[in-house]
Amino acid sequence: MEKSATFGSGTLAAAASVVVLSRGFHPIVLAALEVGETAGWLAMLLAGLMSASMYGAFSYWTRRLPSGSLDGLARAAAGRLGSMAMACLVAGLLIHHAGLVTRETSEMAVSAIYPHTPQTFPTTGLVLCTLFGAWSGLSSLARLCRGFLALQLFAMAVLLAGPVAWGNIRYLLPFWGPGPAILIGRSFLLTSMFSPVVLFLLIAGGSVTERSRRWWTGCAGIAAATLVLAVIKIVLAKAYPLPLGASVTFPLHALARLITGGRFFERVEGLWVMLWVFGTACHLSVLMHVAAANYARAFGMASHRGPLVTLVLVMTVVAFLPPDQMQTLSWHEGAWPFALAIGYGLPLSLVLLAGLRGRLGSNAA
Amino acid sequence: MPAAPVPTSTSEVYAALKEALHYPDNVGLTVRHLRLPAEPSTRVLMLYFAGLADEAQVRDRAFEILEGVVLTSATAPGKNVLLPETPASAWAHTERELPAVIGHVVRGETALFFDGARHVVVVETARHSEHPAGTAQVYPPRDLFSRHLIGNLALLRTRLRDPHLVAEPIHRSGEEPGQTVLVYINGRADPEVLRRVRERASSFGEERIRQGHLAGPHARFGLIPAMVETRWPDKAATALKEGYVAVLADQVYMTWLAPVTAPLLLYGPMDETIARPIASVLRLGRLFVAITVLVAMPTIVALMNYHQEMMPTPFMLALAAVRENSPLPILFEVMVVEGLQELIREVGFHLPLRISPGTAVVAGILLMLVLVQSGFIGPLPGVVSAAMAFATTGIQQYDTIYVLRLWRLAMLFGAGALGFYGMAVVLFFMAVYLYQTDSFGVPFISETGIRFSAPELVSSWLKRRKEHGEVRHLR
Repeated sequence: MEKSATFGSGTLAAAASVVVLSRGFHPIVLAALEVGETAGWLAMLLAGLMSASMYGAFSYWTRRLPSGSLDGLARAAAGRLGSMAMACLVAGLLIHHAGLVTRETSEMAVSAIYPHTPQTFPTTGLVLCTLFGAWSGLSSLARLCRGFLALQLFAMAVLLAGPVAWGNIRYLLPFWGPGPAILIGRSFLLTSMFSPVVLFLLIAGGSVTERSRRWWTGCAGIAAATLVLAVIKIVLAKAYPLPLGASVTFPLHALARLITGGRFFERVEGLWVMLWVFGTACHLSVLMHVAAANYARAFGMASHRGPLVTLVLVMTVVAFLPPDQMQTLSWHEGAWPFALAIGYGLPLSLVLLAGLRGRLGSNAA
Repeated sequence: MPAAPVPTSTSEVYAALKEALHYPDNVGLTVRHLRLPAEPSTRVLMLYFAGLADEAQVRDRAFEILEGVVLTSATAPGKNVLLPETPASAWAHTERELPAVIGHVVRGETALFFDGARHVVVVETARHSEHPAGTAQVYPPRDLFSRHLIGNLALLRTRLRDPHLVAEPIHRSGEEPGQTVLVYINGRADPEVLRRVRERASSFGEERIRQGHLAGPHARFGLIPAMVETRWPDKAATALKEGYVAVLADQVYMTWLAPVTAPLLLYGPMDETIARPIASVLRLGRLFVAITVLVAMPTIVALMNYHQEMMPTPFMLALAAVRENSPLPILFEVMVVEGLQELIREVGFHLPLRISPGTAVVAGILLMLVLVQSGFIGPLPGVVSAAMAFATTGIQQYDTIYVLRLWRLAMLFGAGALGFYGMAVVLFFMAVYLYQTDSFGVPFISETGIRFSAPELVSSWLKRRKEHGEVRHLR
């Protein structure tokens, strides 16, 4: 993270929203339909709210730490070695996540739009975007996200309004899907999808100018984006009922195909490709930046740019590891327990440890 | 400004002028110190803005009043000449409050401060507006900057009428001060921006400034100019009102504005003089033109190569029929057309001004006709290219056109390689570049430029209200 990176809490919230909303284009969000069945939208909403609450709690507990970031918490709880271990774990999770998102995106592009193009082409494009975006620094990235959010929300609104006539509202019944208790239990598993954004907020929180407001703006960013995703889930489930809905590999692309405005305005899903690629590039750049910045801080490096190239290189290797799209999705879902452990378990453990050692006060770290 | 009485002693007048009009660091603000041969001897300060006030009127009218005072003193010795509050002249009146006096001075009148008097004589000396060097355009304004610094400052002061408008001389070692001035509205321009612009202007010699080096590439990778050039006083005045800083130099017929932000590139000279809704539409139109110039041709390439499904069936069939005999891929066709356009533009620069527009148009039409009729390229790239060539005239800043053309080339390669996916990748690179670029410490996509909330978006991109309280500043 560059030394001068500072921005307002609203910008942090906007960046968090973009990171969450950009995942709406990927097939991994169909997991919500798998866990919540007809109440997939509710599962997504519950998971988002749980993540926002957990981020809010972490942020509140660590409000007196001078550095205001995850690295400061790790140093207060477990010293320099603990901070290094935390940085390695976080970088590992984010690299794994970013690599698989890169691969998912390029596989989707190849399967849905460019059947004659080798998947290395779109993958390379995204890797270059990630490197350039993450290299540029967090303040410019966060402001870019803030500018892009307006466009993204507008495009999603069109995407929701376009196919509104399709489907049947009864496809959303039964309201609680598998039942309230099971739904809540499964929704907790789904919070792993939000662990990268929670880590982003915890690491980037130190750059926010209004520290007192960052906890609720971060929560609001996640919650608002989750609400949009939940509405998308409703429209998707209405148009593509279960079990068909769970097998749609490219959910928002499929929704965009339903938009029609007469003879001269149909099959416009190509326009959303730009939005989807741009959003994914923002998502990857932000996450790889915070991974590199956190790593650099923990290891006492002057700039995030030192480890960034190496981390992006590892991310590229991860992107090329799965043999196909199905394996990519499977690898992603397989990492849920680790995402839960590192995204929520690790900060919680650090908070507890720092609390037990009496280092959560204003004089700590 | 609170209603303060007129200062009565010379030292008080100087202090008040320093406070209200930034004397003596305000180029063009003229203060003449006179001692009248009256009885008793009276000191007078004559105050006016050079360029705003007509020097001939100052000579005739103000000095006529002073002569009257001297004559009165001579005919009635011992009488206090300062008592009459109504000068015996149709061009003068008296004021008792300082803000009113300052208001008259910034409108081009001349103020006469008599030592010991509780009122000031204001003489009508304002220069009436002329339109000597305008261009033949439909909308006002018709004024352009000339080569005279004082005259150019007067053009700005005529538009702004703001006592806080400061024309600060730039000091350079070995050069006479006052040849280059930094113009800003005190209290609106950001002090840090001022400091940086002052440093940059001081580091350039007079000759280099005259040659236009001040606006040279400065930002990262040099794609964004360091300062925006303009020949239009109205554009400069609009920018100054919003907190920008201007640099003016003697013998140069333009001014440079800083910091460079995205909204500044959309300002047009007529924005302040035409109806607000029309000006708003024009600004949005310029933004639309810039986006169209950037993406129209790459979109054609992406549609024809990768996203044919987006085209309506009749349109696609018509296009296919046209391209049936085309020997080249669409990307190659587009590159040929773009290359030709650049060639014609370059030729236009090197021909004499009187024949270059005609030659460029005729050459463009002929070449395009021959290429299309011979079947070497299809008509679509030619039509879009010609439309974009016209569209670029809607962009106010010529530097911007160069940057857009360069980026369009990158977009064309992106579209040729991966359709909309490739365009998005290139757009991301551009967006990151623009968001990390700053000009004198102010981000190019600045807080004044693109805002997230709808009201801020509207108020920043659309034309601002003229009232001071509703104008958002760069700070």
